[in-house]
Amino acid sequence: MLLIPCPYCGERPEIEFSYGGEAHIARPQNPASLSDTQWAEFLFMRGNQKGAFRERWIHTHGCRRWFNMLRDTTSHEIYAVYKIGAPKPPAPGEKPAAAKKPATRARKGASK
Amino acid sequence: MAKPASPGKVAPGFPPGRASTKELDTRAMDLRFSPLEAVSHRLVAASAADHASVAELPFTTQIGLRGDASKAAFANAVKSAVGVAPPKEACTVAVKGDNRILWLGPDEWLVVAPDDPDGALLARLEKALAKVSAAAVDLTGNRSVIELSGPSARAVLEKGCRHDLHPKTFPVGRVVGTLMAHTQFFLEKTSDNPETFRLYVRSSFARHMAEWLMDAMAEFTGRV
Ligand SMILES: [Zn+2]
Repeated sequence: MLLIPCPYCGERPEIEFSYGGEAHIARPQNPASLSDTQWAEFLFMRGNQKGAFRERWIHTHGCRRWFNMLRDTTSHEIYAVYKIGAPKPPAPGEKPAAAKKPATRARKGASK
Repeated sequence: MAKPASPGKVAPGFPPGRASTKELDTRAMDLRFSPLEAVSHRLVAASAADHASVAELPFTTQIGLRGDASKAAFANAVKSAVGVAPPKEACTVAVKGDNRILWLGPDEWLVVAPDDPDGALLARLEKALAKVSAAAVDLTGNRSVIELSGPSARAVLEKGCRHDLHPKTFPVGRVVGTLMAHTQFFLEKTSDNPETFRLYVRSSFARHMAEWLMDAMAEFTGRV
């Protein structure tokens, strides 16, 4: 079982959470202008990466809040959790986006 | 066989208009029963004070509260009505007398207070929050409150609760939403001596949770 660091409640057992699929899928601004192929692309197609993957989770049985997680899909290592709308922490080997803040490691990020 | 009442004639005593509102209220109060009332005698029989005791705290007033705790207007309004401001720190409880406010989420709390059939507390809260961006909703009866206490209370919970309940990580004044016996509930630690916990269980799960607790307590109390 994973211990998942909820950005609000801290480290909690996996059974308290539900999975919400790939994160950062933006809804098209003007769906009517899309072709069927583009619409299907938005609705159904997901990354399914091997390795570091950004995904949404919800703390269903705790604080009931959605958040994002950067997790390795092969090792289950949790690199970071971050609130919805917060800047993306870089994945291992990835350049920090704004280079302002260091990547939040999962364990440390839990208490904040 | 009783004859159906003829139109215009009403059975004595019951209908509104014959009895005063006050009398009807009193009668309704006599008629209501709590989710664990039917097994209250078994809760007593399953309890042993020097090991573990379980009891229902019936008819608590519960009010769901949403708002922004960083806004002084919200915090002050709640404090003026409940006696204490909603706690900002995650998973903590603010207590004033018999009133308590449980942190449920970053902008969500549960006010728990003694039985208040007239809804005076909710009315006070609504009045205080009238000009604040916030919500106060009566959730009384949504959750049953079960109190589990005694030197073995923690060991009973540890049979099914995956949260670390050691006093170092789960001291008095903490509350967490978690799962036990397939049931979501809020678990609050209210005392250290003896260790006392409150379980806020959705009412339709109260009986199931009570049965689970009585079974889990048996090895400590020796009562089956
Ligand atoms: Zn949480």
